[in-house]
Amino acid sequence: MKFSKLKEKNRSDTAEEDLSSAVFGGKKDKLKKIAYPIILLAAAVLTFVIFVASISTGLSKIPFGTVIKILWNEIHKIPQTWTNMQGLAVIGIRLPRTLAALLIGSGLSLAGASYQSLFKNPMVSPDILGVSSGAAVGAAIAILIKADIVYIEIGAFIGGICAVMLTALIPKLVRNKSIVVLVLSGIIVGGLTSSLMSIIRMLADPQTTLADITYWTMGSLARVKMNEITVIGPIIAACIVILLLLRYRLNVLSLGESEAKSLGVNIGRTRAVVIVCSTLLTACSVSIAGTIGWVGLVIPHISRMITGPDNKKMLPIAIFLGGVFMMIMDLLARTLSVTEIPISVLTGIIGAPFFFLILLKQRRNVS
Amino acid sequence: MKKSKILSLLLVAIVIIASIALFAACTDEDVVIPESGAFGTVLNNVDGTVTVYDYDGEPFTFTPGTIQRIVNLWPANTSGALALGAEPYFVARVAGMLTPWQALMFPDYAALTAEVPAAAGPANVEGLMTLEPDLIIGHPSNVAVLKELDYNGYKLPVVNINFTTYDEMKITYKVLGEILGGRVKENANAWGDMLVANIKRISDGLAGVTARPVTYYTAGGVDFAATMGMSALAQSNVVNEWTVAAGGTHWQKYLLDKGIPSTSFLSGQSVNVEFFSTELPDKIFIGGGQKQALIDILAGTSQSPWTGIAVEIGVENCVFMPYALFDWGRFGAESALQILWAARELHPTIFADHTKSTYIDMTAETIAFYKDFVGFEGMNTGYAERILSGLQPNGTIY
Repeated sequence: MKFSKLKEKNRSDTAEEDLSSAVFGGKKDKLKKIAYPIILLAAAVLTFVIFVASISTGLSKIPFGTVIKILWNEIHKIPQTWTNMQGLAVIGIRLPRTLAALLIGSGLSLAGASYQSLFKNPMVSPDILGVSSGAAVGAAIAILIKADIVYIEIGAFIGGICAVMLTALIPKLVRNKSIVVLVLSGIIVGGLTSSLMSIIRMLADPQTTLADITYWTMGSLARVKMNEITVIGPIIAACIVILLLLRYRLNVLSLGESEAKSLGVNIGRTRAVVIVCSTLLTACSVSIAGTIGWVGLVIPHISRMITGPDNKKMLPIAIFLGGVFMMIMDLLARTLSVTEIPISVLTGIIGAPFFFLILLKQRRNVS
Repeated sequence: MKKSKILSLLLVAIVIIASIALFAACTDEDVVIPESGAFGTVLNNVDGTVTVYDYDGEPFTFTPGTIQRIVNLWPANTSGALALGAEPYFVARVAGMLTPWQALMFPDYAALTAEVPAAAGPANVEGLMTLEPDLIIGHPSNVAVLKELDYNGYKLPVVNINFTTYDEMKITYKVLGEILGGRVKENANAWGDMLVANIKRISDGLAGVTARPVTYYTAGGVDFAATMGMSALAQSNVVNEWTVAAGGTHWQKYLLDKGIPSTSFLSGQSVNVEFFSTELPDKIFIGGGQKQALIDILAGTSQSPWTGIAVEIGVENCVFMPYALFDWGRFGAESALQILWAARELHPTIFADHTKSTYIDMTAETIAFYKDFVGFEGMNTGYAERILSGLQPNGTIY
């Protein structure tokens, strides 16, 4: 079957979606009946609203009109009626953080959703597969040798890809590809990376690199700079586009290898591209914001609750919601206290109970 | 009028006009400030501003008398600034780092409701900006991020006045004195003189003495109990400097002299108790608060492998360091007194014998420091004895 037929098959929303539903245990939600374009538009509008709210809100009380003027001034120069301090707050602090939160949230969420489809396992996420911790080790090594941001990103990518390859290798070695073994593999890799991180901390200078490494492990957008966003932004955008283009193939992969082969999908190449892009998304996030948990697990589940398991609908929603979630988390991290709250603390506090509720709801649906 | 007189007058007029023109040319925008300079360099600019160069060698330019609101993100530096007389300038205190002695001696500082984080790592920059500081003294771990923030050339008023050695500490206080002026400047200079005098006093007292007891520094009771003795700081800082100045040998130096490489675990990592038992120091100096855990260990009422070590060294040789505005053995202004105190502990026959001319009356020294230098009028013998014993103002243990 050629790809045009495949698309037709996707549109038909029949056997494939049923099988995906079986894989992910989801049921058709009432929300799914709402026309998908409206949901997509609502998600986009919500993302825009939260983006504006994030830039307009902070500990320094700056009137909304002034924020707009400051932002407009970056596009078209106008007479300055605001203080330099206000300009610094909006352009120097809030704008890069909000942009980074949007990119990282979208990226981690999409990476999680892609991994879940690829491994046909709703419990998979960049954290559980060890990608985040592997990327953190790679970044920490680069920090230890006082490398530049580009090398920290490269280190994070290499660490992440090694971790996910190891996690995927273990079930093959033990000849058991069950969900439990995959999760156990993630735990093994997580334990290994945790030990490596401890060694790196022991070797780090307590006054300088140790603080930086600790910062990576807790996650924060406090140190994000605009020039870093210009480095990772295009990479994240490219990975998002590639994964969106592959969303039909991800649907087919979830049908099983023989079905996918018969539909003309190159399984090996598709898997490789999805893994590389998802790992790159995670590595980019880790390289500028450290390890941020739960986003890649919770947001795909919420998206799936809204759209159903069909990746062609679910992935775009996951991108928007991931960005929204992370922008809210960052907003809380920088406004709840004069002390910067590590972002992983917030994603954990909010993500864990939320995930429990999702599981509870799914259990009720199943029962 | 003679021709020569006319010429002279013309010459004078030209000189005056040229001077005025030159002065006029030196307007604000023409003041050229070098982009880098040695730490502590002070430039008095022609426009009346002053430029000081910080630890990173970067300039900080200000108009004298205009720096009235400061925040300090480094607890040790904060205690030093308070000791120098900078209390009126603080607009926020370091969260969770207010010692009972700071609260007693600096009630206005203790009463501040705004707080800045004590932990190393990223600071909430917008939180700092709401305090509208004229000066932000950064922590070594976050100062670079604060300095990088830029809006069309406007930057936060951040300086990095960092130090690990006494020389850098003197420069740090000097820079702070230049920026704040008045009593802080006088005290900054006086502190440097006091440090030099105390080092010389001990050096003179130790003339002809070759013994240099080996000392081990640990951060505090809990560390000692939980991690089997944390050697908080390595050799290349003030801990080594006061140890040497007081006539001792830092444990790391002792190991290095024996050809034992010992860099990693002396930089804040746990020390292996079995290894430690083979290389025992003569004296253990215990800093920080929460000392009860260590007292229990030394008394044998708490199970720890360190109990045997303490017995081996001698419980009397495991000594709590004085503690007030900051741990005397760390990076506070009281470090100048630590030299005298440690010398008494290491060489009691020279410095603790009141019959000798080298005798150091630590109670009197302590009273003088906090009363005359710090400016705490309520200082008395009771307080001095509690500080020297590492106790709180009410006599209870940390």
